[in-house]
Amino acid sequence: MTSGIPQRTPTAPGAPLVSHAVNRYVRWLGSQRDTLGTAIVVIAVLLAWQFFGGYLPKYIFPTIPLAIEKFEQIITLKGTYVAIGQTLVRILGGFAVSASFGIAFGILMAMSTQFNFIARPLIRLIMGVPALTWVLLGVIWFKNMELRVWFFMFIVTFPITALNTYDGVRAVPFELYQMTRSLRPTTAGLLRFLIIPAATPFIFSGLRLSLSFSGRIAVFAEAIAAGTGIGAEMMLTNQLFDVAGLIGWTFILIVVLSLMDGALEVLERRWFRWRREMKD
Amino acid sequence: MITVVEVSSVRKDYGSGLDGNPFTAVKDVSFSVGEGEVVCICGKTGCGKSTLVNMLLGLDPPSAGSIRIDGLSPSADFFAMRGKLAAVFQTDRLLPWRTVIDNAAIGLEVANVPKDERYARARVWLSKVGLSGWEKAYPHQLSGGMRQRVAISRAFVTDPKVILLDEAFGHLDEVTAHKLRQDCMALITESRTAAIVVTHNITEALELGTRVLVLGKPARVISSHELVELRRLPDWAIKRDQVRSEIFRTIDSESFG
Repeated sequence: MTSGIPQRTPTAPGAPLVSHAVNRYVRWLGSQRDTLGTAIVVIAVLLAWQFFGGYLPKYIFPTIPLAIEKFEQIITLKGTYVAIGQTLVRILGGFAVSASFGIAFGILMAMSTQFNFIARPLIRLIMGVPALTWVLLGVIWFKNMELRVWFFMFIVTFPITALNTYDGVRAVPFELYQMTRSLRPTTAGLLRFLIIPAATPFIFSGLRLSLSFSGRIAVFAEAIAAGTGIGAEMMLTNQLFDVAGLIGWTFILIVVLSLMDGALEVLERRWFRWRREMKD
Repeated sequence: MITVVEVSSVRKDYGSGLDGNPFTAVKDVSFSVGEGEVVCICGKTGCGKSTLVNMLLGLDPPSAGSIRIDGLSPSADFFAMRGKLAAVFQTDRLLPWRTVIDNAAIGLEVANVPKDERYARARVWLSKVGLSGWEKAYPHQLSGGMRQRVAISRAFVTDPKVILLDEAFGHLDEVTAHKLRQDCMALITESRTAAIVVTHNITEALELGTRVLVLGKPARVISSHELVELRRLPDWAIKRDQVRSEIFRTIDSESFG
């Protein structure tokens, strides 16, 4: 005879383990949300691309297989690697010069009221001038193609590094400043022991932004003011109405820029181990 | 007793305060500290203790009067004073990107002491404060008390003539603060360093000091209490309570005066 009390289903011995595994799966899914979102967007773009490629003329909108075929052609050409090398040298060279100058400029701005008085309006003025004006001025002012590209990259990216450095130095906690000053370092020592390490997270975010700009700007300048490099190759595809080629070169540029950003991220992780551990 | 710190008629005026009017933060402070002596400076919040600390550290020159530490002016002889005066602040003020040993040794690094020597000296002081084995840790991996111990070893590592404790135990829980006070005092006694302890905690001042100076507002010495002889008396506990009440009354009357 069974009582009126509802019988509880006995829990299977493996049940807690199963629910634990489900929880872990749900948590994993949650942590993969960004990846999932990216995958959905990429698939949607590819589908749309294939769809429009089927209806529009191939010289305006090539299909995915055609773009891949063109990309394969591009990467088998020796000249492609020469163009990538030229662009890389320009980006890294221009970035190095602009970053060094920008960091020094930002530190000076933060540490000298007199310098800041002149520097801030100057930076505001430089940033206010349209990028195209700088390219055209570069073409007029410099005969040498490399100088044109470097000038353009420098003038557009150094204010980013300078302003981030300035903010970083200004954000150094007063308590740490007072403690370090009480140890009586020279100005160089103060920069070495406190100011630069404390401002480095700000400087780094400025550098990453500046590197990303450098890549885009170098290609833009190559297209307009130089005859070599990825930018010039892209310009050529435009003149030949070769959209598949343009997509191929764009993909190469994305890979190059992503690799550079990845390298900077690796450096950032290594240098800011203490910061990452703090967050954990 | 050799006098290590000589503060004579020190005054600090500022051009404009919060209300925009000129004001005097430190009116007239004079005192001296001998070798091995622990002078506690007590006063209410906002009485000018921090200004006095900044002047003692040489970060802010006095408007009038003079401060001499081991015969030198902390502000005028700024670099010559390197290593002679050390401070432990209310918060540990460790540099988060430096390991424990690099934080402890920073005073020696500023003085360009070779790496091996500065690490060896820092290890000695870290061991004295009970942090052997934690040399490679980062500050965020330590508790508040441990971080303050690193700050104490950072102060002692340069073998200073004078150590300045600015509310050094104020943010810790009572048990940790008591233990740390005792350990710090043992190190001060062992190293025969002159110490200036700035605190708003009267009990702490009576526990640590050989002398307690009470500051009014604006900062000037309104009473001084010698404790060495009193401590030797069998009824020290009663005497201590009397001195505490006296200090309390002095500060309280000053507030309404």
